[in-house]
Amino acid sequence: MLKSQKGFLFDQNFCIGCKACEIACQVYHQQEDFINWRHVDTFFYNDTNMEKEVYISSSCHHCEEPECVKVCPTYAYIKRDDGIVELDRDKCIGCGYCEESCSYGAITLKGKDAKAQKCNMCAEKQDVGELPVCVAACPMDTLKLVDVRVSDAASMSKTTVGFEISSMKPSIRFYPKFRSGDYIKIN
Amino acid sequence: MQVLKKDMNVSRRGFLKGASLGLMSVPLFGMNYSIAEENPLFSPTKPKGNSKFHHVTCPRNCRDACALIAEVQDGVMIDIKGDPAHPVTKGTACVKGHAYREYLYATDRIMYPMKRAGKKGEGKWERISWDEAFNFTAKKFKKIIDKYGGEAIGEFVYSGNEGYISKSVAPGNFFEKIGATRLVRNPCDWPRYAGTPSVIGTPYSKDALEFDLSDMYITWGSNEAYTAVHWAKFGQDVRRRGGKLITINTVRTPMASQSDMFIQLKPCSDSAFCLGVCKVLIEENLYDRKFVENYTMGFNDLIKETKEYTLKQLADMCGITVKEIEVFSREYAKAKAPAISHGDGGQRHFNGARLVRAVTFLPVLVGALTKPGAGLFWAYTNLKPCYTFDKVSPDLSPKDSKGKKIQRQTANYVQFGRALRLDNPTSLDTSSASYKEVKLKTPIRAVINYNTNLMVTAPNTQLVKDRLLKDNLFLVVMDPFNTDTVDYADIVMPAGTFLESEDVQNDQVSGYVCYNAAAAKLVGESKNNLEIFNGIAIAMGFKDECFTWNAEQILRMMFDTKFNKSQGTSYEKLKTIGWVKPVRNSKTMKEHFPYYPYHEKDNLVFKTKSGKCELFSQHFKNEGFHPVIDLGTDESYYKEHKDFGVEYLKKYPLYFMTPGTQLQNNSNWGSTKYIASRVDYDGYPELFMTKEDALLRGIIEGSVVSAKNELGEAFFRVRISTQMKDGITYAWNNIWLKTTKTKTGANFLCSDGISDLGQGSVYTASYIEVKKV
Repeated sequence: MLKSQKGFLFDQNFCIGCKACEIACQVYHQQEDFINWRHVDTFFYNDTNMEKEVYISSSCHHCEEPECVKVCPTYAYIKRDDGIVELDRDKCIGCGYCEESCSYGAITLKGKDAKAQKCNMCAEKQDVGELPVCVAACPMDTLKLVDVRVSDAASMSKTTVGFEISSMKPSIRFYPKFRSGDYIKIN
Repeated sequence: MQVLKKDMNVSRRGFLKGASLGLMSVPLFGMNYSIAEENPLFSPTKPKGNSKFHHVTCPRNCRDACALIAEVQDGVMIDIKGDPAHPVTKGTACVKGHAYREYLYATDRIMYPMKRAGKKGEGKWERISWDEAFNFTAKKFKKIIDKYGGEAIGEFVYSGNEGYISKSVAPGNFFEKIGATRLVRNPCDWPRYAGTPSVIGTPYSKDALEFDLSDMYITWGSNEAYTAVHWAKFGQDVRRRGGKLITINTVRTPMASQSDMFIQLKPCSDSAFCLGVCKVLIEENLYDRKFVENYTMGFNDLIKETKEYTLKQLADMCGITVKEIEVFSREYAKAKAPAISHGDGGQRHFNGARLVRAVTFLPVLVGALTKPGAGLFWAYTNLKPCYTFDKVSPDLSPKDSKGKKIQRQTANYVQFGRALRLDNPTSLDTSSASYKEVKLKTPIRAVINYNTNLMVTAPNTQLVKDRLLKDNLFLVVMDPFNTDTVDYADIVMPAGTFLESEDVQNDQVSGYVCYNAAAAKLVGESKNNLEIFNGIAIAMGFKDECFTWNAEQILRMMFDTKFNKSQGTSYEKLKTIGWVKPVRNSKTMKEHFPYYPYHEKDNLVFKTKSGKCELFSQHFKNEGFHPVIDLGTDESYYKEHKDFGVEYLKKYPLYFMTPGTQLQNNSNWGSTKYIASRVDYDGYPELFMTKEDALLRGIIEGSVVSAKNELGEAFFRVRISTQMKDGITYAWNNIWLKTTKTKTGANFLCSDGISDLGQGSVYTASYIEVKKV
């Protein structure tokens, strides 16, 4: 068993979709302009007769049972004992099996070197006691780094609007719905 | 001998889609450090070396003024982060602030002075030295002054560079000395300063840190999620604590989706909504009787006015239900500390001042003004006692034979295109509050564009462009980047960014004096604004001492006030801590502004004529508006105006708004890596419209369209949106034209009209028709 399973805990109730996390990630990792390991997606749903927008900020979910680790023919992916799925790009031959295997689209081979790339949860930052840049960048405090076991013990949700859980056991949790849309009753 | 590099297209960068990305690195003073376009750092490590940390303050003139810390090695900024100790911005920048390193070392930074080597608009340059740039400019200016007088030279500035030296002191001394045409910097929130003081007498907001005590946050005509992200946090924190969040807006903003109530008003129908709320508060006896009796005048006039309309009539004017007005009024009255966060965009209408005045009624009626955490909040804090400009801005203005200052003509920002016309140059008569359009006696022959991007930020772009294309306008552009305006320049001077220039600015929400170090070494040959204006002045032969000052000298003189001394605020303290908040209460502000919100505890005085909150305004009446609440709107303005009329609205039936995206601000970041690509929709700027409006015109998501009105034509790619009601469209403001295929954008369609009072802009008050291309 892993020592821990680091994961993201996301609060959809308060995210305003500003994309600070997305760009902070690109800047820190110096990604190519059109590649963003982290992305903020918008979803629509109906609540108390009103169409509303919600956002999900997501990257690689550092799954508990990651397909990318299983399918990689050169063993370029390893799962660290803190749960981070790390990619050794020197070993990558660009076959793209990992990209196909990931049901969350977290891996891309569209970079100039045509090798796989994805979020590494800023492992090198965490190794020196710092937070991942996306977490540090959020002006709304909606993205946190929390061990999924802790999140589960605190009854955090495994799904939310716009997110479905897969058999790979993604290490992302969500705050439950904050309060219903009819806090002020209009009718 | 000078190096002649003709045809050196300054567009040596990758922001134009498809442009070659080869060899894009910018050499920085011989160091091999640059923003590379390749080699993602998958194991990013910071360069090993001794880092120095400097306090800087984002000067983009959004409400937050983020306190940032720049990490610098050998003059190169390697990282920038929020200052976690700052009580307002709490350690995070906004989305674009995270890209400041890419901004500072962008591939389109102008590295040396340049002289035009092609036609205007072509962007062909010859490299010149600073001496040549200064001397050429000085010679040209002198010639113009000799022939036409100093007023033939104008400035264009604003906004997004809030440093006092950069925006006021350095240019101010130069333009005073030559006696240039003054610029009225009116694009932002000037209707506020006619509207709010007409009721409560103050132009100054309360401290936004009071939001920590609010139990209701009302975001009104504002999209904090995009334009003031830390205010969004304030609002969300109210909700987190169990308080209520309410959004009043024409567009469903991100915070609207999370609000407990979203009131989607028709554009600028706020006054009708406010009258409706007043009606409910009065008829249901929900107002603060004691406050109203003691501290208001004109209440009976308001009662009378509320009886003129039924709630149904008012609700219809707003496009909402009676129930919504009733529920809002009851919730608002019930709240213990309801805070209204009132935006700037929501007042850029032909009824801007009237609308702001009406909104100001609500906290008065429920007695919220003086309660901690409650009242009306906007972006202006009183830090006047912290600065003195007596020494740093000496009287250099040209005098008449009796030694009296010569009154000089003014141009105004919003109508700069009109001022630039040679046949009929006009501006506003600033000698009275009615601001009639008057003819300028001296046509403008030369302009310095600094801290701004005329071709992108001013409304009515075509009118501006018509003159910029002409050879009889000598245009000097000071900018770090190769903006759209640079293309029309005769002389281009590479200006340093705030990250390379020492300065100081105000915080707009809470009242901090904010320091900005010259953190990084200037890129290439660039100089900061102070050095440039001093350089031109010296080349013109001016011997005044002020043109030899450096930033530190100026700041020390500016801070030399009695108030600062009493508070222990000094240059050294500010430089060390990065931001200082003076104590402002009835005692410390006694000499400066002894009125609300700095009144004595038991002596609530408003700086109005009556000393009370004026629900009846003689001034508004004198100007031809309803003295209580005036229900005029943009629609009624167009319908009744002789130049437009009902037929105009049939021809251009879609209301067109130009709000700001979270990715840019005042044309800053317009070409920055990671940012520019996000506002690009396959070569076009975005136009948001409803499905119904699109269907009527055979338009679908992604269609390229031409949008037109009498001012001009712009091309967009359509995004279908459910955020607005039918008949309303919007496009982001300030998208760089050269990042689009047709080099057109929203401001080609923006009215350069003026708000009812306060001579503010009306960026959000235009009508268009849209056709599929």
